[in-house]
Amino acid sequence: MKKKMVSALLAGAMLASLMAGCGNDSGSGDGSTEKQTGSGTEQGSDEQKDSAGGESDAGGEEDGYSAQIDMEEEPYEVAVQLVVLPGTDYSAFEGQIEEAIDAITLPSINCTVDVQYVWINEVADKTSLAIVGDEKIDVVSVMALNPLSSLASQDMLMDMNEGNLLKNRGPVLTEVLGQELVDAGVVNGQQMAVPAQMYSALRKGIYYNKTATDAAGVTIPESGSWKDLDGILHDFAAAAGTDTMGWYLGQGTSTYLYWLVGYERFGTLGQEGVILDPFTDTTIENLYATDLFKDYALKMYQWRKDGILQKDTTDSTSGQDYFNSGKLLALPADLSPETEATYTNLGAANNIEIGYMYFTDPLLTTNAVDEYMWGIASNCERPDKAMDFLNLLYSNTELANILKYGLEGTNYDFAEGSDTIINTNGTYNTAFYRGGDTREMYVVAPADETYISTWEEFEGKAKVSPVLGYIFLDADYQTEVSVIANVINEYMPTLQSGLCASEEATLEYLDEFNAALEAAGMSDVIAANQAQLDAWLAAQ
Amino acid sequence: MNGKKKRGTRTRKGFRHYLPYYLMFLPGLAYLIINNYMPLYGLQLAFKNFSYKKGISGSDFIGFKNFKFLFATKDALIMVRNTLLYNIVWIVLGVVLGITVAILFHEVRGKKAKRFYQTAILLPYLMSMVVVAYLAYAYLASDTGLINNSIIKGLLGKENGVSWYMEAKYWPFILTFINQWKSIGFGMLLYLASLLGIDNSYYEAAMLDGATKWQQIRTITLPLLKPTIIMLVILNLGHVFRSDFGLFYQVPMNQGTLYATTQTIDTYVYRALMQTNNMGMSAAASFLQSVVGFIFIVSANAIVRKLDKNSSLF
Amino acid sequence: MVSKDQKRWRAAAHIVMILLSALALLPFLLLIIASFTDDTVALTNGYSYFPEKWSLGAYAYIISNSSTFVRGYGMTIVVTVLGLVLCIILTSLTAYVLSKRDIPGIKLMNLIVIFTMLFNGGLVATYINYVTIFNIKDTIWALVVPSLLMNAFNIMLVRNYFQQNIPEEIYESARIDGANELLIFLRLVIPLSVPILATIGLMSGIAYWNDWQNSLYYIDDKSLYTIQAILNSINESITALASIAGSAGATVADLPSTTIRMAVAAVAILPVLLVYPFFQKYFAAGLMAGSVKG
Repeated sequence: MKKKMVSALLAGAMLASLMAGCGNDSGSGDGSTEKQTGSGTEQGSDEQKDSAGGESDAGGEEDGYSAQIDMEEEPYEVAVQLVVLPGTDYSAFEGQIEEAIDAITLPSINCTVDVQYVWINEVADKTSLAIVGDEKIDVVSVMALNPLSSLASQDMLMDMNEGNLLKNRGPVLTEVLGQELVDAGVVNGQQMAVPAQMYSALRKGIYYNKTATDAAGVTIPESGSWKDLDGILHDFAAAAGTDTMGWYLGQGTSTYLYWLVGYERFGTLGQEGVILDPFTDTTIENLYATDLFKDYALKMYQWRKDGILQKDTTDSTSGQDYFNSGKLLALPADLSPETEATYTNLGAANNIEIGYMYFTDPLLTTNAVDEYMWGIASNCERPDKAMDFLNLLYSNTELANILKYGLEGTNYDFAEGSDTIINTNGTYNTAFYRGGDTREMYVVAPADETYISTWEEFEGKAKVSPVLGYIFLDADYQTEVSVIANVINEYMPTLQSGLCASEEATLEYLDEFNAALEAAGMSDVIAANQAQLDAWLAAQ
Repeated sequence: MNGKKKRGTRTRKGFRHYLPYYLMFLPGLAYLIINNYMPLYGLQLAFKNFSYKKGISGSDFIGFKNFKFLFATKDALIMVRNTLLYNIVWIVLGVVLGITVAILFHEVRGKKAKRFYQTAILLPYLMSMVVVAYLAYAYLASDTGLINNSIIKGLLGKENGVSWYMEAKYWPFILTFINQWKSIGFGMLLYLASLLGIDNSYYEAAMLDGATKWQQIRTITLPLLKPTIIMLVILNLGHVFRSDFGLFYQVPMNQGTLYATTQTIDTYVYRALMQTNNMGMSAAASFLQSVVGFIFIVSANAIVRKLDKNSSLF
Repeated sequence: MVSKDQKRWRAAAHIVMILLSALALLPFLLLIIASFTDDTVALTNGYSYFPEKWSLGAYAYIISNSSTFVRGYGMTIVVTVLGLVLCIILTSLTAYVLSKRDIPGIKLMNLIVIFTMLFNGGLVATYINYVTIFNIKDTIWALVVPSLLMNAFNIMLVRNYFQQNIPEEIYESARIDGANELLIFLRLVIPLSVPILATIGLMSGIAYWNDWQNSLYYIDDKSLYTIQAILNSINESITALASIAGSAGATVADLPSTTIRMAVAAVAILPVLLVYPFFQKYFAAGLMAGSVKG
């Protein structure tokens, strides 16, 4: 009996391996995944040089891509990812939009454009599947949910320096964004992406319900430190009662401290460490072992005890929902003229006057710049055409306006007496689109002509982080990083929601948390990160 | 009624005799090959440092490095314990409750009543876990939840409700309740299908002999259900190292304080890889789950085969 | 003649059934009521069977987006029906062969099937397989074929039923009459197996109805999205947006509130409830077949 069992098993295993072999062959046989191979960059660049040389003989072999656009060849179709809100469907006018775009791109860069609308919750999956299946994808939207670090470490993007692609085909892009910003897309010496927005500077702060504070007779200063919130929130609670909660922490996993202090973090949970004040000191630390975090945890405990925090820490309702219905006083946010315009408009829609309080100056940090970028997929057939498109995006305002606002008459109309200020009708929402020369682009009412200059000024004032553009390559530390993430997920909600029984218990729990982080290899990761950063700084 | 196979009379028949069966097996086999066997080469991802540029076969081998993160945490034991215990308890409960409810349902007379009960009991099975999580929250929320508000404060007159999402000790019961609540309707259907197949004359004869209902269940129903039970148990054992992600992640609202009783291998893998999105590591976790499931299935099948040849699966 | 013992059993059965039905119906009722609850009231007081303020707002949202929802519905229905029919055909055919214990190589065949329940090549390999070799991306087959069409669990369930509930004598008498295997399968086996096939059909129908992953992976053309894929995206949007560092409040636009999500969930379950009685009819038919045979 046993023998039969074993033989059956063996047969099964053999069949499996047979199939595996067969699958293997077909995998490589179709050549899809092999096309862009080359851990050795040589092979890749050779190939690209070939194609570049083939399309135009004007460029020499050493220069890689020619600086000239070949207007004679058959137009190439560039597929561009555009991230939109889930549930939206623009198929009704997608064709018209593409037509309008083609009318611009065909004569100027000899290509057509296929706009691929992707729902934001799907963007990471769609990108990786399209690349692994070698489907048509050229320009990739790199963003917080489709982050540069993971795209780059898993070889999903193309090095834009290869064959001098960026230099020869993207001069306007570099000029408009500025070399400093463009360099933020360099990972490990390779230009993996370019920032999408001209103005990335942000300041940390809160937006609050001014209607409510006015009614309660509480004044909130325009700027201060996050610790000032303590007095403000207590005053408000004393004056307004408990109907409106002061502070909301969602489910408490991600550190809200991030929006209160201008630190540079590595990994959205800070699992690879943080630089508390990059402007004075570039030491990477474990956020959770700092005095700052200790103060924060104790403060949260206090707020919980004093009834300032939301009562229910498992609440899945978004903070914005509470805010809109007047049940929440304030929310922390990254503030800039752009985001403030959004919050003010949203407040107006809910009959709430919005006030702002700032905790930092405008800062230009890696975290802010990495928020929105463009990349070229590693399976892109014609990187030069993808780059042409990106370059045109920053020189041709009409193109940028179509992508961002859609079509006049269909999706927006000009405000009376203006040819730059528009009223949108909500049919085309590209909240996650950044790109184009912001100075020249349309402005959405109720903002006016001063909007751009305010923004430009804001950006001009921004302090540039000395580590702007540095990204930690964690390929050798994936195990540690994932275990650390898990530890943070486990301990953070309790600490951040102030759920320990007493101050002592909070401190004890914090110690336990840090011990667990150490056990998970936090200091090794931070040491590796620091070593990479020091080498990076030395190379700057 | 299903007359034991007359093994002795099995005669050698030619290939021609069996050809129609093989032909009938072909479409299913073709699908399994396309859907399951052809992609099997992806299993090697568990041992590779996956690069999108190089593809599955081109990526570099890194041995067992991808597996390391599963054991690198002090919680490894907790999540393995949770995964195994919940599964085993639920398999047993599923059998007991499924059969009990199926037998009781079978006793119900009256078409309308039957239709009503069946539809109602199956309802939870139709809901997605996301919705179940919302509903669980509506009942369990500490401040606005129905249980705290209406029952504990309203009916029992107590000041403070229970902080359900804070206390890990309640969750084995909550999760078990939700799991059974959701699956009992379908479990009932599975056994009911077998029950419907049992010939009424068995019961008629038993009743003539004066057997009580309980005796009939013990001597007729249960023995006839045995093959179904064994098969369901063996099949479920294949998933003993896996867990319903929605139930363990969404329903407890991803609460850190509850990890002692809600962390399973799947939730751990999800939480750990949410940031890194490492294909190799998730492939490694799934590979391990498959191997453990395979061991469980094969051993369970071997034991069953020892006890009763005809009931084993393969 | 109904004995006392039997009466007691029936009473107990009714009591248990009523209890179970209540347990199942109460949360469902809450789901329906929640979808009619006013947003602000739900935020402050939580959900209740007797909300202070009713509202049709959630349904107004669904109706204002009706074109998306209606198309999603249509897609779902087509996919579910097609998938269910194919699933029943493939599953019963395979299970029937496996139910024959004396076919040479039957153990291996069983193992081939069960093995698939345990090991799979993972998303990447499956995706490459379907997209580059079979080219099903952005076709309706992408919603029907991958992973859902047939699985080992169902096959084993049906195989088991065939073995247990269809007596050997039936086959023999049919063979004597000269019927071939396919005919026996179609004319004899299928009608006798309605209860289990209805069960499988229900299981696979619900799997198709609730599936959103195939849309996510294999469909780029939004007009082919099923209703569940749309709902799932809306559901996930909050989590997705929360991870964008722009704001802790995670808002760039008005997102559907919880009451809307409840309404959407209710709307998604409704058709299943409407179709369910048909399955029940087949159960009843199966019962009849069961009592006739033997």
